[in-house]
Amino acid sequence: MATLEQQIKERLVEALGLKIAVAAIDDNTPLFAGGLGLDSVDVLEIAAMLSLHFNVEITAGDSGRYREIFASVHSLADFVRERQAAPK
Amino acid sequence: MIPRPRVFVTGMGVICAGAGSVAELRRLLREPKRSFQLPTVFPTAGESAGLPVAQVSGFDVAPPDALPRTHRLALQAAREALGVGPAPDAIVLGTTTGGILTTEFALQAGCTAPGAYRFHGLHTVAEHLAVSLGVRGPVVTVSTACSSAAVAMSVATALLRSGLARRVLAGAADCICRLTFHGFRQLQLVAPQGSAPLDIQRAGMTVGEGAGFLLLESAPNQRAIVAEVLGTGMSCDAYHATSPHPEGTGAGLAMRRALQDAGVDPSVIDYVNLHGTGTVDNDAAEARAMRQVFGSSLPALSSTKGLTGHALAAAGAIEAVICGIAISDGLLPANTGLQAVDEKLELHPVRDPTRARVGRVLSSSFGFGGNNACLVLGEAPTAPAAIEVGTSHPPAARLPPLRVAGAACLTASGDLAETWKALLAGQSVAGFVPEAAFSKAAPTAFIRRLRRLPRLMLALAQTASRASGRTSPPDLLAAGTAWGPLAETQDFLRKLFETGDQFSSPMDFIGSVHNAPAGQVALLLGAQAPNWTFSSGDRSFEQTLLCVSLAMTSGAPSALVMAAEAHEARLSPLFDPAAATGPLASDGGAALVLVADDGAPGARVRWLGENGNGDGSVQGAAVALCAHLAAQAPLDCYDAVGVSVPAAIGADADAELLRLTEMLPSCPLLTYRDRLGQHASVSATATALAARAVVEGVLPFGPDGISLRHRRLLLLLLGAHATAVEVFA
Repeated sequence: MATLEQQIKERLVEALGLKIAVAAIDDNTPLFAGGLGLDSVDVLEIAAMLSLHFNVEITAGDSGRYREIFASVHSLADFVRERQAAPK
Repeated sequence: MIPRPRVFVTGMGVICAGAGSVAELRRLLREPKRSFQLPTVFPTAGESAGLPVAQVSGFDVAPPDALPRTHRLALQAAREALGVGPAPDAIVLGTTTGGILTTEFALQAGCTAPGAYRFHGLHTVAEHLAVSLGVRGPVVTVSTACSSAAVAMSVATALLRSGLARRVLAGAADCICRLTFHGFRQLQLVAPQGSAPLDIQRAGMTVGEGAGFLLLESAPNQRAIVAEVLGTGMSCDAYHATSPHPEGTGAGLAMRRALQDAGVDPSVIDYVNLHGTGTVDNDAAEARAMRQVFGSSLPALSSTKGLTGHALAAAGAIEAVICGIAISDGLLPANTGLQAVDEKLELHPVRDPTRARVGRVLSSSFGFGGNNACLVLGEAPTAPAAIEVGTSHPPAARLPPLRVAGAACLTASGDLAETWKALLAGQSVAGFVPEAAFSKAAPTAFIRRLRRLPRLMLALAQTASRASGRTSPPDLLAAGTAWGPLAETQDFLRKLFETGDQFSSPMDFIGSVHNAPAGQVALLLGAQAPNWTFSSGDRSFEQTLLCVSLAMTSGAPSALVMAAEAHEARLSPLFDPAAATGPLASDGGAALVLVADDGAPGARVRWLGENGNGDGSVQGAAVALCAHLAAQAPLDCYDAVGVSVPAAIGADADAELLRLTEMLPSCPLLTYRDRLGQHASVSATATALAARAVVEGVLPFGPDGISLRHRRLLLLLLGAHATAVEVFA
């Protein structure tokens, strides 16, 4: 089975309409400036994507951690693992 | 200088959460009690199930074939505003939802009967009102998201000031629906506990619904006057698709423009009804804008959205009625829902309803696409003589012609040059615009998220701007589209239904808003000018031209005017019979850069009129319009008449065409949709081609074309409201 990082990359390309190959995204490629060049609207799209496909909610309460959560595919995967492990 | 006619409010009508009439809203403002509840008009599931809305009560039960909710809300408020008086000369209505709530259920059920979608279009709300009230003049639909109502009031004011109308019903209507409820939720802009504007704990808006109308008159009976529209002002942030400019620059600009139009100093404003949605960003940006405009001496102010919810397009109309009540009753409305004010905003809202003399008010409305619109209302004049300035002003016979400084179009054959060539070769240019013809309009990063309609509009805007040779952004930006961004709407709803009413794409929601494409054009061109989108069915382009002409009459030096449609495989054939016409089914559109007629060589375009029978019928509407035009100037000055016959009219067009042929014996009648294709914005394409034809002296129809002796063409659109535009050199 594909790693969580791999699954997130596939969902990112699909959800954000990125014109690049999944293989071209490194786990540590910055999502924003200097990397994939995403912006604030993409943050919401990613939040909706994580909610739909990984059953993980990013809410206004997490806004202080946006920079950390949305740094890279690797950090997104860490966040998903953290939330999935946390008791509901 | 001839004083311009003054514009008076002589009737008001409203329906919103907690109030079904002006009298009930008056009571609610005196004793504010909000009535947010869980939505009952559509299903919710999962995370969305606990979110409150500001729903109008008593409107739930409807027979299955009933009018959509937005239409019913609009009719109730419009009837109240009109009272027992005669039909108004025109209607200007703002809406973002149209019949979408009904459409959502029909799409989810897989319904393919076209009749199920007959009230889907935004234009059907105003057109239903026109038939119900017997309106024969312009019936205009504005869709600039949450600023729609204030823009509608501004257009209505311009119609009255021009003398084209003396009584105009202006307002807006929207209903709650799954598209907006889930769209704002996915943008994380909805407050879980209900909105609390200006509060330190504010967490978003509460999606609401309703309708509000003002009856505006330039020559009213003194006793009927409730208030006066002193001025309007608009701007565009040209900053972001959904977020306001953090410094409130565009909002402040719209406020200043409204005050300037009213000819009043900020210091004379007694009360400001804020846009005040209760989102973190709006309230912060609006607070900055308020301080920019008013400095440290802020007037009394409040947001009433904690009471009524945010009724989107209708918000500005409901708030205009609230401002009317504030003036007539001497009441400062409270900032309901506020617990502890956010000190960082440095605003001190009215906490409780307060008695005070309220002479002049400012009402602000800001929307997606960075669209800002403000109104300044004042108290009724005390002396009858004050009105006479307006009544002595002669009605303008015609709007002035505008010079075409640059043009662009997109058809299945490609751009304007390619389309011209194909037509000269006797070919049809019907069909869908090939991707390659518009895909290089803007940098890849800019258009990554954009679908077909915004890309078409970006390409048209950029090509027309370049053709005009003008380097500065236009002073006005106006777009027409009957059906809006359908691919985005379809995808948003598809994903929502697939996930059992739980999830969809925030990006698709942002893109689905009718004025999103024009907002993207403003971003690309850096245009902070007023930014309008009109969605008036097959008349969308003509009405864009009308409203731009009105604005240019009062001084705007240049405008970018465009109209386009983007075909969507599932929705287009359900919504518009034009999209089910086989090889004639088309999309595309055109853009024109227009400047005031400065005598320079080139084509001129002039909006001539709009006429309806007042009952929704097609027969005789265009014939009566031509008879009216013939009374002003002989019709034999035209080399040819281009007639747009929308597929939706069907056989009703035949008798009308026959009578037009009899009226215009020396003039060939060309039903141009046979060549240019069937789509709602094709009259824009026809106008761009006509502008080239009158300059070249030849119409590209037939093998050698038709020689144009007078270099003057008349363009007619058949429909329940027929329109006429002339193009000449």
